[in-house]
Amino acid sequence: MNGPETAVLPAGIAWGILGAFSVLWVFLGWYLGRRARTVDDYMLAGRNVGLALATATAMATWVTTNTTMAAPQFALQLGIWGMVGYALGSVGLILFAPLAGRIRRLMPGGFTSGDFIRLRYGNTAWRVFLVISLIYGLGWLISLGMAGGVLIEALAGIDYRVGMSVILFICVLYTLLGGLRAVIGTDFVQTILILVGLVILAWLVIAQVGFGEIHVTVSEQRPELLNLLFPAAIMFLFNNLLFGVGEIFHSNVWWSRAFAFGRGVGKRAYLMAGLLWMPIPIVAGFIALATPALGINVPGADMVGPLVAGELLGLAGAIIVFIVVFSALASSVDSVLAATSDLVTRDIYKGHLRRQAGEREVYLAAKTIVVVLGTVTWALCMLRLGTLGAVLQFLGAFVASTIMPIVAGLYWRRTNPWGVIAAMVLGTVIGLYSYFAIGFYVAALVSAAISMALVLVTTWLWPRDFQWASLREEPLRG
Amino acid sequence: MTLSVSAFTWLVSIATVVTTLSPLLLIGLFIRDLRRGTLW
Amino acid sequence: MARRALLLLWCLSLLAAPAAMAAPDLRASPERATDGVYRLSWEADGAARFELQESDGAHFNPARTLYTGADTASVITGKPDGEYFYRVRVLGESGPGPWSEPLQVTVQHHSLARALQFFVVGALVFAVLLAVIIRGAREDRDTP
Repeated sequence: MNGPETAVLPAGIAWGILGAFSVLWVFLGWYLGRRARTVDDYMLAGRNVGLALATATAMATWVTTNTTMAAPQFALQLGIWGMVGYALGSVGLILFAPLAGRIRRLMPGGFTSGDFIRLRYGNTAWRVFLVISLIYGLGWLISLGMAGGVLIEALAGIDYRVGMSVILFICVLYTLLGGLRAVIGTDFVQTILILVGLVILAWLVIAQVGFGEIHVTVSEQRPELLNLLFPAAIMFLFNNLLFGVGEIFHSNVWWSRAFAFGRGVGKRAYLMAGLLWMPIPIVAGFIALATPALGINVPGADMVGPLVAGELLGLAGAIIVFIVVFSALASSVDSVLAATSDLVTRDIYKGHLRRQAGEREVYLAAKTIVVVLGTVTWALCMLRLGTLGAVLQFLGAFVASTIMPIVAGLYWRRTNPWGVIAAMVLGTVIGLYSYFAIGFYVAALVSAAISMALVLVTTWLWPRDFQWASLREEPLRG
Repeated sequence: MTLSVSAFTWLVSIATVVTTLSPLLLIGLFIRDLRRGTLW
Repeated sequence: MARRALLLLWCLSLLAAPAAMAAPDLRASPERATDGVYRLSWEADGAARFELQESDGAHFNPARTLYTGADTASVITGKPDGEYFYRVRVLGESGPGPWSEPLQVTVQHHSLARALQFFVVGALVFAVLLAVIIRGAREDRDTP
């Protein structure tokens, strides 16, 4: 084993925390979902979510283990631009704010991002989009499940398979009980826990180590991290920004929230969530830069956060990190699970397999699909393929190719559907090629650039006309 | 071109203060929504 | 006959093992880094503590001790262009074992020109995106 030799947290305490929070999440899920009877209730929380819960759910979902674990990792590898570049991931949330308002107005009865692509660009584009979306959804779920298993094992010495299974089981259970209401309600509690934990650690690092000493030791031992002209980090900057934009613009996680938030809420909620989220990677990343000052050896880049917390606070630090990690994991797993199963229910089950399905059948199918998707994710996590960083960065090429198709589809009447299809396919392919030819820090950037160029050129040369009113048609409605 | 100590301090301080205040803001909003009955 | 010789060898190796501590096996991934990031890892059977040293030359004069302890890997980041040499040894009960063979890692960052090209492409894509959204949002507001 290449992690720290001894687990930071005794397994007994870890089980206690896992147990207590699992009971809390499941209770909240049951309580919040107990009156849900319709598809609108279950999938979209009744379509009238208020500002506080809307902001918190957008923040919590975007604060994944990637933020709490990968932001320190990026700070350690790419330095100051790594932190800032990661913080720019929130630009996606901010830019989605106006889109969310428009989406709700154009499609008051819509359910998924798939609905939009189908009505806007036709069936072929819809299928290409579904492939990208499902690869992303499943990829994200698997990387989260794996991250959960790996972190619990590293923090508490609990076996990977056991920890991973527990997290997935709990999330499936409360999502099943309460639908999107459960996801959003638990997200609020999880956001507060994550923020408080992170803030405690950051203030401790500031008080115990201090800015001056961190700056001196980093510039002695890892000088490039403070270099503003660090080449790899400069490439990473816009790549990460566009990766984030691609994830948010296309993914049903964010679209289903745009449909679920009350009138006028979406725009403000996404804007505020983006602004509040932005400093989080800087705070989390800063903790990692304290390693040279504290004389900590880092055996694996993805374990920096827990190492520093353990060094500074001992057992209490390990407990805080464990709670933060568990909250961050749950808040993202539940959201991706719910949104991806909505997409499967709506666009695959009802869209392709059972077009005549009625309300009741769709409601039951949605619940079954949550379980099936959870089980598939669990089975794939058991295989433990590859490292999680690699799995995740791979997806950048896929999602960034959808940015321009979504934006041009929402704002331009003349976007060419075939140009959109070419943009998604070629953007993804060339993005993947650059991932292998140059490095992970350019995949999303190349994909977004190619896709944008194709949409612009095809729309300019061969414009098509589109009636916005046809977005309101609901041919799939049962 | 190295980032100076003061710029580094500013960047991290602002980020930490904002992150410290955001849970308070969220809880405040929650209470407001709860009173108005606009939670869901 | 061959079997007997092998058996003898095996017995000898058992005797020899505790006396001469083997040098750990040291590896770097990648050995050529374009972002100043690489991971050193080492292993040796039954050893509990290690010492890792870094130097600018294969002679390790002067050498800097990066780490002593039980971990079997170290992530090095933020290195400027250059050649770096590493070696590792076991710290046993009866004193340190022999050093491993020096391991050379080359750091050569992407050229700044290339990085800036990507930066400009990124900035351009972002600017277009921003323009489309801002214009769209403005028209959206004007036409209810």
